[in-house]
Amino acid sequence: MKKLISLILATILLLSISCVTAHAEDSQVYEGSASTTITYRVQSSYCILIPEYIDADCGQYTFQADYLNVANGERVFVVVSNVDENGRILFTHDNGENTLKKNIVTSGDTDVPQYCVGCFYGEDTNSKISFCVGEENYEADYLKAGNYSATVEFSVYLGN
Amino acid sequence: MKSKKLIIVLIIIIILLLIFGAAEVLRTHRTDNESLIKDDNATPWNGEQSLPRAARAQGDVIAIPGFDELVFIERQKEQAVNFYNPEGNDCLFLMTLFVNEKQVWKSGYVAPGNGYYQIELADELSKGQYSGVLRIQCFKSDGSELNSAKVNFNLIVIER
Repeated sequence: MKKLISLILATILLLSISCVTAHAEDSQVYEGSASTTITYRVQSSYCILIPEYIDADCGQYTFQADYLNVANGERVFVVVSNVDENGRILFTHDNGENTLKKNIVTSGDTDVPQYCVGCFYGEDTNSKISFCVGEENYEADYLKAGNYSATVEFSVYLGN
Repeated sequence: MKSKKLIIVLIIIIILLLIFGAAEVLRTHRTDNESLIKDDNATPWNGEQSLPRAARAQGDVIAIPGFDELVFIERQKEQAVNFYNPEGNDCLFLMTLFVNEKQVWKSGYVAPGNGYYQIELADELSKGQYSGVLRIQCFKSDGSELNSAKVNFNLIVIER
């Protein structure tokens, strides 16, 4: 019995030694000192400035970022998520009654998702694309004189 | 008797002369109108065209902070986060957290310069990767709704 226990202990001891040797292979030993690589990932973060509301007469909108810290190859996209099936957003008159719909028209980088109105990458805090609302009115029952504005939901995400 | 006939003939002649005279005046007047030169630059009218508009000043902006990843601990409702309304904003944030499109947390109205370091989820999550969305609805203090944003990120739930 004692011999058996001794044999098991000896085997465990041998296995332990070989494990230590295996870990040592990860490091480079040079003149008594060792080096190893430690990785640390800083997460991408950003702060995008969106308009309080979209005014049909405000012309071109170009989004800006308050700050931007994204990895190489990553882009921050801003996409309008509450467009209808025809890509139009609903504008409401100041009186709260009359409505009309308009298209979103974008210019700039074409390699972006559908209904994308903002695109950021690198260290430039200006969007690479701009947008405005189209001249054409759709589904307008009666064009009552006055101001029309829309509240939009923007979807913001990191992509490639 | 003869002089009477003569008078009648003279009256008839005078009346005829007056009629012819009036007809000549009308004819001459019409001819003068037709002699006006029409402007060839005028085109057939097909309804109003859209004219250039003077762009109004764009309103204020809202700072929306975003991130690409959030790590939660499995099997506990209390989680550490950095959800906040940036200092410079002029609106209240109402934040809702969705995990795989299911709502797990909702804030109250958060004033600029305030936020949450700890939140309590509606349900505990098990280890794994999820799709996370932080919906940020923005309101003026009078209750009027402004544009909103959905920040999309990867949610990783790790072992305790």
